[in-house]
Amino acid sequence: MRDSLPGGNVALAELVDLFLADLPERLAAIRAATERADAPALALHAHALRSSAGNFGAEALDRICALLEQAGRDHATEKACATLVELADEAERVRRALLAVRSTG
Amino acid sequence: MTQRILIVEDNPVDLRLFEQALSSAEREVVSCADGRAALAAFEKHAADVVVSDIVMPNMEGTELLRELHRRVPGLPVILVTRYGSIAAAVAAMRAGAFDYVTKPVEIFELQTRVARALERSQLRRENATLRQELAAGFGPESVVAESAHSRALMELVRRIAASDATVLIQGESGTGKELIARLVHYWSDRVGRPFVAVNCKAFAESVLESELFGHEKGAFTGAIAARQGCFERASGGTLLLDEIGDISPEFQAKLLRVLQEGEVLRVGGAEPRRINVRVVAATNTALKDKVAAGSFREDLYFRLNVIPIVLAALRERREDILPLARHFLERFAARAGRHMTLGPDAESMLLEHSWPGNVRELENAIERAVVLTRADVIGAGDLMLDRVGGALHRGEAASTQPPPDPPRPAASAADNDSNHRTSAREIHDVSLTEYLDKAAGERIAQALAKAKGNRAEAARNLGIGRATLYRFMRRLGNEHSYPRRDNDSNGAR
Repeated sequence: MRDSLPGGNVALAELVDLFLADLPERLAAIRAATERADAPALALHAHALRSSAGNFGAEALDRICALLEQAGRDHATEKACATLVELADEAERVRRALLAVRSTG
Repeated sequence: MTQRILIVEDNPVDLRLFEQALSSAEREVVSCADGRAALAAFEKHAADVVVSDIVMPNMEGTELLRELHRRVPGLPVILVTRYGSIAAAVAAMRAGAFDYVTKPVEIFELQTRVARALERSQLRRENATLRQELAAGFGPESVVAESAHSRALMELVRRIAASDATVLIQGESGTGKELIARLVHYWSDRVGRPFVAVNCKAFAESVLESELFGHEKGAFTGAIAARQGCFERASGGTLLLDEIGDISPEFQAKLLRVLQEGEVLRVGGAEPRRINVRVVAATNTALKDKVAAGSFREDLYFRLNVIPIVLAALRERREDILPLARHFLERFAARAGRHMTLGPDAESMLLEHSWPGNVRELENAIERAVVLTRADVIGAGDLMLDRVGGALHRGEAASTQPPPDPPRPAASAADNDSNHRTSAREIHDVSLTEYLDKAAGERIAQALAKAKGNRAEAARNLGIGRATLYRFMRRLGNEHSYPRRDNDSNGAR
């Protein structure tokens, strides 16, 4: 992405910052939607996080979000509960990786 | 010309990514986080291309697409869908999307597809404008400029077309002010954008404000929907404000503000809208005199008069008369499926006429001659310049160039000018309608005299109804020639 963005490193850093700023809120929204069994909200937030993760090549996070999105679409929020821990772990791994990218700029 | 792209995406990371990928010096990128905001932004300022996510809260991308196409059919919309969701991509295309891209978005792919959509948008605009221009006959090939004045004028128009400066065109009625305004537009970079002409004199002031600036729904009784004004409709193009000298001082102030600020406020609206319009103003009055008289604002005059163009009357550029006449003849004859030429006597008459109605009068004369002349060569009499609308400068051509051919009947030949009815010579020259009118007028006068002004009795004696008598009298202009008798006051009218 870095090479194809017109703004290069600066543009990439801005996107990373946006992602990292949005990440806690997005994780909280997924968790809250799961806890209150709000399937449409779960699908929507999982879809949004999946979309952002895909931009950075975060394939594992993308895959977990896809499972959550599908659970939301299937109105099977109970299935999502088990995935939340995995989601949090993978999100943290991606966060650290992006911070590293950010610092090496 | 700046291209405008509207991006609709609820995910802030994707939104920023799209902005970064699609921004450039020639483009204006507007971003919205949902469909409703996008529709509001689009109504405020239409976009050339819309890039929208499909999955969004409030309004899905496909619904937004339908709403946009209701407003601008054929608008290129690119929908963004998740990788692997073939069904969504198919649905997007079926819904009328120009194209789709999948997430995670490949930046080069997005840029390529948007560039193609922008090209399509530009082509659509250009096609529409060219059709409009060609249909109206304002292509460059339609310009006839033989005189030094006209050639210099065309050169000036070519030079100023490239700029965005305001133009003030002044000239007598019929000299071609709108044609020049269209050429300024047609030969500029704005050619693919709309040309909107509005006659300021044709509207009451309250209506003119709504016509030019638009209005919001409920702004006044009858405003059942929001409506763009001419400034917004001419977005990116050219707006001709014709008869600008006739707007009120109050409206002058409003117009000045719009020109200074570069934004309009719809009637009943709260938020001004940016405009990108080249303004061409036109008037047949000497605006400077109006400024001197205090009826036209000096600051507005200077704002409009950045590039002044003064059009000469046709009588002051006689070298243009015959080329223009031949040009009109070719056009009208072709329309009638005929091949016609101007006879030498017709050409002489055209050159000698004073053309108070300028090019428009010449065009009308030629069209009339094509319609009424059976021969393929138009003679002087076929032009009927001495009979229609008082156009003849009688002191010259009427006395020195009597039409050699019998004049043709014309709908407007009911001319009250007694010069056309009095001499024995003219019995042969006048049209049948005029001749009959003259006879009818004399007969009616006799009947009224005999009946001592009693219309009812005169009508009976003439064998016609009173209503018919009154109609004749009004048409012939002797309505008040005889005093009305009391018992006749309730006569039919």
